[in-house]
Amino acid sequence: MYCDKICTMFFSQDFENIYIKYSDKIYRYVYLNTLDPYLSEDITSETFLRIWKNWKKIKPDFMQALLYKTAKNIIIDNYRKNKNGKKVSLENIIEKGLEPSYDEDLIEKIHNNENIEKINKALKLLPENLKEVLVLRFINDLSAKEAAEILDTTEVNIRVLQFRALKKLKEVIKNE
Amino acid sequence: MNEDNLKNLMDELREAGALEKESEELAFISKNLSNLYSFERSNHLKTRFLEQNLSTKNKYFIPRQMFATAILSLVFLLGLTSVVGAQKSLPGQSLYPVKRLSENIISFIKPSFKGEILERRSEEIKELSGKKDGDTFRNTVDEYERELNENKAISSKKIEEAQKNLEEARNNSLEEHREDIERVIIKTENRQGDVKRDEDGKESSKDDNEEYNRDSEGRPRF
Repeated sequence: MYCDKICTMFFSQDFENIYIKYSDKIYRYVYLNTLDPYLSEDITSETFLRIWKNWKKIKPDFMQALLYKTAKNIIIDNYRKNKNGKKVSLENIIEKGLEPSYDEDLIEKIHNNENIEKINKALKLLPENLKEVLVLRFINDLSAKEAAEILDTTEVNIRVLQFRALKKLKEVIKNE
Repeated sequence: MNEDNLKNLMDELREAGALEKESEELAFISKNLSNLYSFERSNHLKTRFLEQNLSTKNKYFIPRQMFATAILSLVFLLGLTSVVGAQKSLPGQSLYPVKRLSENIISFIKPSFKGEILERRSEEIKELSGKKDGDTFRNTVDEYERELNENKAISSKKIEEAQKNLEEARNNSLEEHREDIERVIIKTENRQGDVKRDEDGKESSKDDNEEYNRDSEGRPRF
C-alpha cells in the first residue's frame, strides 16, 4: 500500500504527459473506427487505464505504438462482443466504478459538421487497411515510420498504401 | 499539415506512381482531411480523467522537482546535524571520523582554525584520561604529539589552553595514563617556550623597525 503511493507519485507525472500528448490522437483514431463519439471516449479512457495498470513494465520508446495497438484491440473486442449481443467490455472503467464524462460541446460540433459526416461515410467504404493508413498518416499526422511501426509493416508499404488510400477516397467522394 | 510536409507527401506519392497533377490533388485531399479532423477534447475533460481515474492530482501527486528538493534538503539537514553532533565526539566513537574530516575541511577553508586543533586534542585527552580504553587513549596522545610537533599555526594562548586541559587530565586520570600525560605536559611546556620566544622575537623586530623608521625626535622617516 505504502509502495503504491510512492510509485504513483513517481510515475504519475510521466503518465500525465503521455495522456495529454496522445489522448486526442487516440480519441480521433477510435472515433474514425467506431464513428461513435461517446464510445470513442470510453475506449480512449479504457486504453489509458490499461496502459496505466502496466505502467512500470512499459518501455517509453514504444509508447505511441502501444497506445494505438491497445486501442485497436479494445475496438476489435468491442466489435466482437457487440456482434454477439454482449455489452461493451471496458473492464477497467467498470472495475473502478467510474462515471464516464464526455465533451458534449465537441460531440455536438462533430454531429453538426456536414463535411465530417460526408467524409465519415466515404471512409466507411474504404478497406480497413487503407482507412487506417489515412487516419494515422493524415489525420493524426504520424510519419510513415511511426505508422509502419503501429501497423507492423514497412515504410515503403505505408507509402504505397497511402497513395492507394487517397486515390480510393477521391474516387468515393467523386462518386457520391 | 505544413507546406514542407505537403511537398514531401507529393514526392512520396510520385514515387509510388502518381502523376504530377494527381499528386497535387491527393495532397490537397490529405490536407483537408487533416484540417477537418483536427478536433481536440477539452482540457477540463482530460484533467477530470486524470484526477478521477488515477488519483494522481488529488491525493499523492507531488511535482518531481519539489520531491527532489525535499529529499536534498533532508540529506543536507541530516549531514549538517551529524557534523554539528560530531564536534562533541571522542576517539573511538562512530561520529569521530566526521569530526576529523570536518576539521580538515574547515582548516582548508579557514587556515586560522588550525591553531585550535591542538586544544581540541587536549580536550579529548582530558575526557579519555579517566577511561580504561588504553589503546584509544595512547592513539589520542600520539595525535596530540603529532599536532604539537608539526602544527606551525599554534599560538602561545592556544598552548596555554591545552596545558590547562592536560593538567586537569593529570589530576583526574587513571594511574595507567599518568606517565603519558606527564610526558606530553613537558613537551607542551617546551613548545610553549619556543613559541613564546618566536612571538617575542617578532615583536622586538617589529619595534626595531618602527624605531628605525623614526628620526631622533620621533617623527616618521620618509
